[in-house]
Amino acid sequence: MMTFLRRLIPRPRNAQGERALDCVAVGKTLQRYLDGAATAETAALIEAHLEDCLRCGLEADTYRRIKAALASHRVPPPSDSLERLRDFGLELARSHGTKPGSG
Amino acid sequence: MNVDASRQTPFEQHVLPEIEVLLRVARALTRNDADAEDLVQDTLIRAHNGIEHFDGRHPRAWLLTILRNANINRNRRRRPELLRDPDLTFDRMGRAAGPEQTDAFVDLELDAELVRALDRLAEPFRLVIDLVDIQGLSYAEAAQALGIPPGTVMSRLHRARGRLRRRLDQTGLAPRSGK
Repeated sequence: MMTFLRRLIPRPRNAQGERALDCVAVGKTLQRYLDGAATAETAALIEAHLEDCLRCGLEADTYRRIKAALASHRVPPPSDSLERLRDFGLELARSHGTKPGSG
Repeated sequence: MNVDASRQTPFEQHVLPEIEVLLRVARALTRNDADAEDLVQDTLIRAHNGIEHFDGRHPRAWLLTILRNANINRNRRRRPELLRDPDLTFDRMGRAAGPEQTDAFVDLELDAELVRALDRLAEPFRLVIDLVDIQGLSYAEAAQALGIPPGTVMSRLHRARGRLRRRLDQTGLAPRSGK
């Protein structure tokens, strides 16, 4: 709730007096930031902007929800398939010059 | 399987631990369990044949490249139209229309809508979402699996997420951005 309220009050520069990013710059780097691929310096500037800007803050929240929902679809591959492939791999590892199942 | 690492062959050491990731990626690429298993089997054979030339660094990247090439060969044999440049294919297709799914159990609205929106994405865009957001690959790993630069992975990913986001916006499941 406090975060939401803070975003309603625009602050043109962050507390450290660093050059704050505007919405366009944040829009360009937001995805990298959410993927953990932004540099620490950029991430700090984005975080400061997200605290201050209602629109960008909501945008980031939405993408976080999307990413979380997508990640929830990460299921292990079928165990029987995995087991067959591991057996096949082991068989290959033990073979020298001959391929499993080739003869 | 308690095998002393020092007694493992390079194939056992570098390849066997990556089988699960390979199968995940293969499932994303083929969208078919049987094809995915065949593709990984193909990849394992190629890796076994090439292990002597592998320097032992970045085995996952090496294996993803092998898997990608194996997949290209399979598609060339089976579906030559897939060899077109995916970005051009996307531009030509515009908004790819997938079959409308009417799930009887659409309670988790956002999730269900996301799945629908994902199915509607053109293949190159669905793939990057699958590899990075669902399977958890890094930009670099997805780039290896797809044979494209990491920058292209990023741009496709961002465009794809934008489409998903707009879809949720249209259905009222995402907060309006205030534009």
